[in-house]
Order: sequence, then C-alpha cells, then structure tokens
Amino acid sequence: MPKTETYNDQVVRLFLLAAAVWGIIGMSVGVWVAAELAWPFWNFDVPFLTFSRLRPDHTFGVIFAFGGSALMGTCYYVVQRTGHTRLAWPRVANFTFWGWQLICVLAMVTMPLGITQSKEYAEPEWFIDILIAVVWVAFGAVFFATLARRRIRHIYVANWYYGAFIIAVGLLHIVNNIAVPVSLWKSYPVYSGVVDAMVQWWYGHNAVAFFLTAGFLGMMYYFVPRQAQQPLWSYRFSIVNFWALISIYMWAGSHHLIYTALPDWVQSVGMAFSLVLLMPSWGSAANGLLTFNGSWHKLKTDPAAKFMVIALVFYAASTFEGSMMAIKTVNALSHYTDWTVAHVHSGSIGWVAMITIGSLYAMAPRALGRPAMHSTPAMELHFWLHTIGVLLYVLAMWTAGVTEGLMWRATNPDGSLTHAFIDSLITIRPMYTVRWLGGMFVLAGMVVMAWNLWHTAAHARAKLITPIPVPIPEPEADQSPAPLPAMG
Amino acid sequence: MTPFWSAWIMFLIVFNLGITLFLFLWGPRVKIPVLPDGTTGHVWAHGVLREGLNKLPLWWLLFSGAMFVIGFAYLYLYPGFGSFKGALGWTSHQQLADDTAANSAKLEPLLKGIADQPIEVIARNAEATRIGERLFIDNCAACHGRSGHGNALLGAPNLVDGDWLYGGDGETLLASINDGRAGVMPPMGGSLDKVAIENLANYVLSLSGADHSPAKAKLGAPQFAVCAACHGPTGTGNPALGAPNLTDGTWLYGGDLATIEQTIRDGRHGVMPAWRTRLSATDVRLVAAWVHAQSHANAAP
Amino acid sequence: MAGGYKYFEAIEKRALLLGVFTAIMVSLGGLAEITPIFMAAHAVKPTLGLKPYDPLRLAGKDIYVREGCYLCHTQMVRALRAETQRYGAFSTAEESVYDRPHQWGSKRTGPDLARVGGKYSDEWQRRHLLDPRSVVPESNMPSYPWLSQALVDGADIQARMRTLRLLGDPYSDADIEGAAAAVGGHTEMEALIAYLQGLGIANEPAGVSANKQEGTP
Repeated sequence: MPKTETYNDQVVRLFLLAAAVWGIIGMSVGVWVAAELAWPFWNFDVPFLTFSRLRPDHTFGVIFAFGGSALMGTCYYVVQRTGHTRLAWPRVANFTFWGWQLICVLAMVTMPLGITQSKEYAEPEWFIDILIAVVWVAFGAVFFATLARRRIRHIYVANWYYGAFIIAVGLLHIVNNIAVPVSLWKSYPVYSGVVDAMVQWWYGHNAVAFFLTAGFLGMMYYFVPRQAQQPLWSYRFSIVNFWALISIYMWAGSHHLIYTALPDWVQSVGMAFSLVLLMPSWGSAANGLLTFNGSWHKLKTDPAAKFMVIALVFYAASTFEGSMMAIKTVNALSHYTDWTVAHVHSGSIGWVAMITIGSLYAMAPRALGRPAMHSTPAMELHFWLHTIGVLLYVLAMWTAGVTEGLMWRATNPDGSLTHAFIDSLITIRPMYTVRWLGGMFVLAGMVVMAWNLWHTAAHARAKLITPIPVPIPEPEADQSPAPLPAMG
Repeated sequence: MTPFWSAWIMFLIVFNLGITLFLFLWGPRVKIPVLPDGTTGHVWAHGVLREGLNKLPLWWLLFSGAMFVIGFAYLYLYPGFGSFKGALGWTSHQQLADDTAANSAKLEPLLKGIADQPIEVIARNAEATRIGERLFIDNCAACHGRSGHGNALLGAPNLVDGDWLYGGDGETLLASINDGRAGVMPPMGGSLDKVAIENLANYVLSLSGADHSPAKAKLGAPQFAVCAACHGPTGTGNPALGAPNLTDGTWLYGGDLATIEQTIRDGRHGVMPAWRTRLSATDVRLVAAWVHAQSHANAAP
Repeated sequence: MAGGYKYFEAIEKRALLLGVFTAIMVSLGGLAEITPIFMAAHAVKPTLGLKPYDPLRLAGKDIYVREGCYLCHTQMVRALRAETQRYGAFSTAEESVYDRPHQWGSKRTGPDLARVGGKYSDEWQRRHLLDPRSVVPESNMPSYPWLSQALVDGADIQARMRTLRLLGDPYSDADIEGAAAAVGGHTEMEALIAYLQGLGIANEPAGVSANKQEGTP
C-alpha cells in the first residue's frame, strides 16, 4: 500500500517547536551576558547569574539546543523527502527528540550551578556527555536506517552533509570528552596541558565545521533549491566541495593556538590547511547563491529566500574572514580580542541563524499542513530586525577587537609599550553597549518568528491528535538511475 | 619528533592535500552524464529537487588555485611538513628573539643613562616618565589607583600628596618598589576593651586636631604610651618603621572614628609586593621616576 | 582526468560506503595533529621534575575552572614581543602539564594571568574578588562574594587527588592523606587566592623563572 504511506512529520514538528523555544532562550541568555559585560550590575552577585557561569548557557543554548534541534528536525524532514520514504524507527526518532531535550535542560541547569568541565563548547559534565553520545548514536541510526530504506537510488547531497555532520560530531564529542569521574558532579579529562589544548580546539573548531557548517550546509542544499525553485547550480561543485570540506576542516583547529606553547609545526599545518579550506567554503557558498540565478525576483516577495541569500553571503564572508584570521600575522593581532567574537557571530547569527530561519519559514507551512506562513509582513519585519541586529553586533565587535589588538601591541618610537591593559577595556566599553543593542534586535526578531509560527500552527494545534498526513509520492519514473521499487 | 611520526604526518598531509588537489583538477573536467535540460537526471522530493551541471566559475578556479599555491608554499617555507624545518628556518621563538632584540636596540639610547642617573634626574625626563606611567598603570594602579591617589580599602597610600610613610626620595622609592613593604600594626583588641578603644581613638583624633570628644581623649591619652613605641611620643610617626604620622590629617585606612577604632582593635597588615623579581631594574627606576615626578609636581605649591 | 565519475556515483548510491568514506576522511586531520603530540607528551613527562598542585592550590584551580574564569582570562603568554613585554616570559608547554583541562583560554576581556602570582597582595586579591570595582574602578568583572562563605571539603580534595593519580599525576599516599588537613578550615576564597598566587611561580620547570623578568619596558 505505498500510496497511502505518509511522511512522519510529527517528530519534525516537535523539533521545530523546540528550535523556536531554545532559540529565544539561548539568545535571551546571550543578551543578558552581553549586558553583564557592558554593565556588571546585571551579575547581581548571584552565582548562577554571573557572567562566567552563564556564558556557557548562551553558547550551548544557541549551538546545541537551538541549532541542534533545528538540525535534527530538518534532517528528519529532508531525509524522508529526498528518499521518498517514511522515517525509519519512529520510536527511536521520538527518543532522540525527548533525549535531546533532556540533555539540553540538564546542561542548561547544571552549568550555571558550577557543574562543568570548563572545556569551551563542551562544558556539560560526564554524565550528560554519555547521554549525548547515546542520543547521538540513536540519531545516526535513525538517519542511516531511513537512508537505507530510501526509494531513490542516488543519495542527495544534503544527506551527504547530514551524514558527515552525524559521523564527525560523534567522533569529536567522544574523543574530546574522555574523562575520569571523581563524583557525579566532577570529572578530570584524560588529556592535560598542551594535548588537552590541541584536542579541545580540534573539537572546538570542528564543532563549528560540522555542527555549524556541514549540518547547516545540508539544510542549505535542500531548502535553497526548493525555495529558489531551480535545480541546484552544479553537481560538480557538490562532489568537489563535499570531500574537500569534510577532510580539510579537520586540520584547521590548531589555528586557534598560533604563537602559543603548541609546537610550531602544528600551528603551520593548521594555517596552511585553513587557506586551502577557502576552496570548498567559497565553492559551497557559490553553489548555493548561484542556484538563485533566474530566481532573483523571488527576493522581492519571499522573505524566506531573502534570509537564505543573506545567510550565504555571511557564510562566504565569515569563512573568508576565518581563513584570514588563521594567518599567523593576522592572528597575532586578532586572537584573544573581540574580533574573534565578531567572527563567531557573523558566522552564527549571520550564516547559521539566517539559513535556519529561512529553512524554518520554508519548512513550517509544509510540516504544519498550511499553504504559507501566517504573516508575510511579520517575516519581512523579522528579516530587517535580524539584519540590523547582526550588522550592529558584528561592526561593534569588529571595531572593539581591532582596537584591542592594536592597543595591546602599540609601541612608542622609543620601543616602550604605549597603553596599559585597562585602557583598552575603557576604550571599547561603548562598543559593548552597541553589541547588546544588536543582540536585542536579533532577539526581537526571534520573538516575531515565534509569534508567526504559533499562528501558523493554529490549525495543527487544533487537531493535534490526528497527524497531518503528507502522502509520499512515487519517485519520478523517467529519472536516471531508475528509482527503486516501493517498499512493502 | 621521531622519524616514524614525521613520516606519519608527511603521509597524511600528502594524502589529504593530494585528494583535495585531485578533486580540484578533476571536478571541472569530469564527464558526468547529462540530460538535454542540463540536469543530471537525479530527481528527489516530489520532483522539485534536481541538479544542474554548470561549469565551475572561473573566479573560483583562480581563487582556489591561488589558495593551493599559497598553502603549498607555506608548508615549503615554514615548519609543518613533519620534521622538515622549512626553507626559511623560521621558528616562533627566533622571531620573538629577533623582535625583542630590535626593540631593545630602539630603547637603548633612552635607557642608557637611566641606570646611573639618580631618580630625581630621571623624573625630569618626560620620555622616561611616560614609560614609567604605563608600567605604573599595568602593575601598580590595581592598588594605588591609576593616578596614584591610593586606596583606603587596601591601605594603599596616596603617592602624589607629598606625604610619605617610608620616605619619598629616589633611593627610598627604589627600595620600596624592589623589596616591597609590609606595614604591620598589631591588634590591641585583646588588651583594650571597647570603651578604652573609643577613648584612645578620640585621643588619636585629637593629635591632628580633628573633631573629637576632649573628655574621652583625655581618658585615652595614657593608653597611647603603647602606640608611642612606633608612632613616637607625639604621634609624628617613624619613617624607618613606616609608622604613619598621626598628626598630619592624612590617613591610610580612613580618619573617621569608626575606622580608627577598627584599626586599633584589629590591627593592620598592609602588604606591598616586592617587584624585583617581576620588573627589570630599569623598569623599577622608570616607575620610581614617574611616582617621584607626580608627587613633587603636586606637592610643589 | 575526465573519467572516474562511476566510482563517485557508486559511493553516492550506497549509504554504507558513503558513511565509511566520510568517517575515513574526517579522521585524517586528528590522526596527523593529535597523535604525535599525544605520544610526545607522554614521552616527555617523567623528565620534568615538576610537582603537581598542592591540595589547597588544586582546590583553588578547580574553583577557577568551576567559576569559568577561562572565559575572560587567558593563561598563555604568546611568543610575541608585545606580550612578553607586558606579561613576562612566554608560556611553555611544561607549565600546564598538570592542568586538566588546560586553562589557556581564548579571550582576554581581562588581562592574561599566566604570571599573575605574587603580583598583588593576598588582600588585594580578596578585595578584588569580592568587589572588583573597589580596587579597579574601570573593571567590568563580576564579583564572587560566595567564595568567602564556602569551605573547601577535604574528603572531596582527596578523592580528586586519587583520580588525578589514576591519570598519572605523581601524588604519594602521604600527599593524599595529608590533603584533608592541608585544606581544612580554608575557604574557597583562600584556595583560589593560593592558586592565583602560584601562577607562573609554583608550576613551572626550573629555568623559566630565571628568564621571567618582564623585560624591557
């Protein structure tokens, strides 16, 4: 009975909801900690509200809770549609949803209480790490099992990226978090000093590469051609970029440790590979942007497409910036300053958040059984709030970072240092206020999106008991290679 | 690095960059079956997802080619390819040594005289005191404040008021900075009760002519004999011990009644760290010169 | 160079092959960069003659880790002239050999702390942690008043030392036995200050301190 089989969008809808909620939570925490840097009053002398305790909640909240939910949701959505098959193992898929939400809640609660490994971007303690590993393996199992039962022989490029995202993040997570527990609340990593630094930044950089890049490229490769209603620009590009990107990225982590106590050779290798990395990075951005050729008029009417295009522009810009920052002379200036913060946020609120928002706007009506989002003007408003926010943020932090870098090294003609450290902080404090304002714009946009999603989902909420069936069509008969016969 | 690990690294670099270079050269040329509409014939998602086979843009080919050239050149010139040291023989530590040597050469003319000149003379050299100020803000301002006005919370003295605990001449300043100071006043709370402390505090206030209760001060006067050992019989202090002058209205921790009572009751233990191990001899002279210049500029009128 | 598409097509049509090749390709970088350093670190360790953290400093280090100080302070003086001029001799790999996890950091909202030990008095550190703006008016650092209210737990420190010994840190039985007494009655504030005051002093190999002057101005 293949004709009556429908896509399993229930778990997709759950992830969609979770992404919207975690997005607002994660970004609210971000705005809060930004306020703490500008006005330390906001720490309130309360341990769990203190900047150094709360910042991991912002990074975990937006990367793993918001980004993770969006990635897992879209992954389940995309793998079904590009395989013309229903999601395999629905119970396991549901487990991945509830398991991931449990992980996020546990992490967000324990970290501000001081229960933390303090490994940047891998703060949750060992028992949460084990849960993450379990849920991650289950996620991979559902994905590959669904892929295995696909009815189209050729695997679409979006799935290559989702697959690489799952495999690499699993590898990174497990290797980086090997630790020996002292108690339930405390563990020590097996690595120390320079080895720990190398492992940590191999992990940290590739959390960016595979969580924030490969996963979201999977999203891009599905939703951009879908929204542009054009064939993907070039399959050649897909092949070259994929294999180059997933392997080269893994070498680049050591560019976070230039001029440190890490041996020179590792630093150089990281820098050289970071430059070669521009080839697949710009190739991927070009493959996405050029797909809009012939559909540029859509930008006038479709805010989702607009989000995607600006996301790709930010992707190209921030990958270029990243490779430049890996050059040791630039890194000597930029490292440890707010320039790094500017770079991270042009990548995360420019590329990651905007491709996610664009994809959510494209996916939500379909997953919720509606012809379109509830309000197009609200999407338009969100676009402008977000764009102004990210520009304010990035320009403020870029200015602050370059200022810090220059002041720290400024030397008088006679060879003495010009500025005391504290002077750099005094100089950039106004920029911290501008950054906070930029964050407020982005957050306001997210609230608008949540409102819009809520109303778009009104119909689905009313009949929550009965799922909204999206029938699975037969694969096109005339394609090459020929589609597989229907299952069951 | 052992030959094995060197070979291991070399192999992986060649393997991975080799695959990437192959993809770069092969991708634009490879023959992929194409349909008349310019797509690959792969179709997904309700028939709406298709793939084009466009030529890779020239700007991308040139740009990526340049990145390969720069990347390979970098691994040839700099250490990175296993144990190969790189054609330039560059190391980060050598770069630092060279930069430091070049910078020291720039500093030399200024610093040459400083080793022998008295602090009082260096204090009149604007270039020298500017460096001294930067060093002061990075190292000393945390306690003494960035303009040197001190911090009563820490008992960190005001350095610009012309009033000195140990002495404000160049040599004494050098000694204070190089070896640090520990200003210890023992607690009296064990031997004096609350009333006696209040009386004694009033007497101390009376020494500088501050507001006080004369009756209580009179009662407290005999107790001051113990204090006189350090602060002198008339309370004018002793620079050899760093015992403050109590008659001049300048207070290290605060001159209100409650603070003086606390000082008497609990004692004080002010610590200035020794900087000899942290700052070079020249740095110390520069800081001392700036402090000297500040205190004398402000104290002059 | 125009042939060979069929091999790629074969991979793209088989989920298992695609997964296996992906796993291989993402492993190369880590194998090249991590394994040699890992092996080298294990070969070097015994020759250092470095002492691991004493119990109070260990407690302090773990408080530093717990509070997340690494988010604003680095402990890594890079091999750059302006940095050695400001902070002192560049950091070496040996100095952080007992740091689990490493505290090199990635951002300097505040200054580097690799050589902060002895720079300020204990009282300054205490005031500064209680209320940073009472001593540095321009600071945007949070206050940590709760540290002076909590006591370090001796049994917990012993458990931590036993775990660290399992990982290779050379603590003797006597070290661990004496740990409870060594931290007994000390507040977390005192432990953290002990740790800070040892930075750049107590955990570096012989030879570094000889070269430790902040150099030319």
